[in-house]
Amino acid sequence: MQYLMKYLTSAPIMATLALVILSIVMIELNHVFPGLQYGTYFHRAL
Amino acid sequence: MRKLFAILLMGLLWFTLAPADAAAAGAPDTHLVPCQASEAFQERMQNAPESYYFDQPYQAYESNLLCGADGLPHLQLRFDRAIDVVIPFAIFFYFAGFVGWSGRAYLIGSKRASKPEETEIFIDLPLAIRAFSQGLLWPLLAIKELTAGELTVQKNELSVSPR
Repeated sequence: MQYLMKYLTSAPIMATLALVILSIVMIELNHVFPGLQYGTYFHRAL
Repeated sequence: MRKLFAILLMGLLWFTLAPADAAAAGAPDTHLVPCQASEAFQERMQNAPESYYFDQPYQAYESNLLCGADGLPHLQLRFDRAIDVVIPFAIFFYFAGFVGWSGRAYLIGSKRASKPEETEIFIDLPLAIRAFSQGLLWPLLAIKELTAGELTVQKNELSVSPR
């Protein structure tokens, strides 16, 4: 268990995990606030 | 003195070149038109492949943005639409600061560990979570450290190459 935890906290694994979490956050943000991705979310409709 | 001159010059250029009256009157820019009225944009929209990656962005541009003669959306640098630039910049700036501050807090914290080098290869999770939560408040912490003189090293600690 101790060795498994040490392996899981190694930098490449943590970096991959961080990337996956960030991707999920970005996808969900775009889902909740449509238009954020296209740079139009903060615009008033013309 | 040089700094003061630069600031004065910046102010002078800003007030002479920025079209303040156009912003006050709410007058639209002379050459930008709403994308839905731009023929070049409509042509681009019709020629675009039909897929999720093109339909939704084009619809969003059509109803929200101003297009130039090239049929592509452009941002206006006007005070009444400053939000177009300010909010995305603020999000970027905060996120960049968050990443930087968390990393810095982690490295400073790891120096207190028994094996500082090892914490860079095997992430110390409690320390990392503490560093991330500090990173969320980075603007406040940066001001606090700057006023307390902890943000930068003292002049006498800087190494100077022999001259």
